[in-house]
Amino acid sequence: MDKALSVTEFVSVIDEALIVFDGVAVEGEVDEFNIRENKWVRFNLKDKESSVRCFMTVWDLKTEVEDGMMVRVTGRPRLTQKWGFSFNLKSVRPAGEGAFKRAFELLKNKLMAEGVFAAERKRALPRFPQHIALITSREAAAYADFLKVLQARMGGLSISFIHTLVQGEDAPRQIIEALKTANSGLDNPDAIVLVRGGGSLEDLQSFNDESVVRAVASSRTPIIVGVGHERDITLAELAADVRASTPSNAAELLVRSREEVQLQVKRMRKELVNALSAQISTQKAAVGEAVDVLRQQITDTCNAVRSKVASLLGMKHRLLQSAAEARERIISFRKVISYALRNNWQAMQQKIVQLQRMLGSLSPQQTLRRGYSIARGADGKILKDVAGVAIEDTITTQLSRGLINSSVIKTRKNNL
Amino acid sequence: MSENKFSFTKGYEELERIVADFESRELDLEKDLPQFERGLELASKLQKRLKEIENRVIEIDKKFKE
Repeated sequence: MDKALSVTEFVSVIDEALIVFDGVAVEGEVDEFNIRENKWVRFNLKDKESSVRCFMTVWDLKTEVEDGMMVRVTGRPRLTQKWGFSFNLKSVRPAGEGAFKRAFELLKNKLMAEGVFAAERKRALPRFPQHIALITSREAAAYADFLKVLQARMGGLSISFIHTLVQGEDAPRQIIEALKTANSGLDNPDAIVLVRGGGSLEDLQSFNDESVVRAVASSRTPIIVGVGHERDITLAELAADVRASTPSNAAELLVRSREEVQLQVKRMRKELVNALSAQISTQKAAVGEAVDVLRQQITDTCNAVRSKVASLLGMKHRLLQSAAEARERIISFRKVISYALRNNWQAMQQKIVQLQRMLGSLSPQQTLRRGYSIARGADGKILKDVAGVAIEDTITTQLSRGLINSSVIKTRKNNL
Repeated sequence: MSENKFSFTKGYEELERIVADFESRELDLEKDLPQFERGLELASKLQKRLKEIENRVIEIDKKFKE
């Protein structure tokens, strides 16, 4: 070999020669892991004796990584002027159960801190979903289990089934696509069901994939996620609106049993009928009561009229009686009065006669008859004192029968 | 599909509303009779719907590009 290569040529040739190792998988421990500008991922992959510098973009990093974690990486080894020997990675995934567990914990903590699993984000499933989008593998037992339990619980439902891989490299991408279709490519399903059977943490990787978990969390349609057996909890389940313990449980949580709903409908129907019958009996009772009240009022009024008539009749009777009594008393009064009047008249008559007699005995005529006489002066006045008489006065003496004119000769003061 | 969904959920909820309404107040036999009949009609429609046995599964033909 005469012609030597320049260093640049040498680096370039070796770099090209390294292409035969494109896609090589290497397992090792992560050291000095860091992310720059939120774009470039750098770490060293090492074992007890050796260490290799690794580069990749954050978009290709699909798992949480930290120092000390065992990972299996694939990529292309490069030799460049700038970086020397390095391993440009296409994929990184945890290697071994322990690493998977650790990656799972790291992602879980990160998403939890972001609030992806927060209870307040979760929506209630519709009460009666009629159209369900089912995402799972056609081959999985989960598919048959879900449909079997669904069928046992409720009929007449529409299920739009979207087949995807549920494990393996391409599973996350397919699941995310299926979620997109279910959310916007179908006739508004009431709920999305994403299920698969149980498995190892590695098998369940697609349900712990960060993009899948975020797609589940941001599903527009309420979503229920169920995986295998109860002990397997994936992050997709935690991000779902409802977590089912198994695919069968997903059917149970999503759809009420026809018996339950039938019972509810029957109960409501009964309540309707009861409400109406209760109202009918109430009104019947009210009408009966009103009739009773009316009847009582009529009876009361009749009784009142009857007793009024009776009392008026009594009053009439009493009035007639007292009128009769009055008449009798008038008659008897009249008798008494006329009797009294008559008696009184007779007594007066007698008294008058008596008085006449008395008057008669007192009259001057009578006195004259008994021999007395009356002397009168010249002026005609009765003489009672001699002082009123002068000698030679003419006096007239009246006798019982006839008059005597005399001339006074002598007067004396005393009678004798 | 969407007609089914509409009638069942809406029908159930309407029936619930009628029942709740009837239980919450004094009824006027004359005025509430149409609602009562509507309730019975909904109940029998729902019950008829609940007698359906089969579910319909349609596979969405979705090719995932590799």
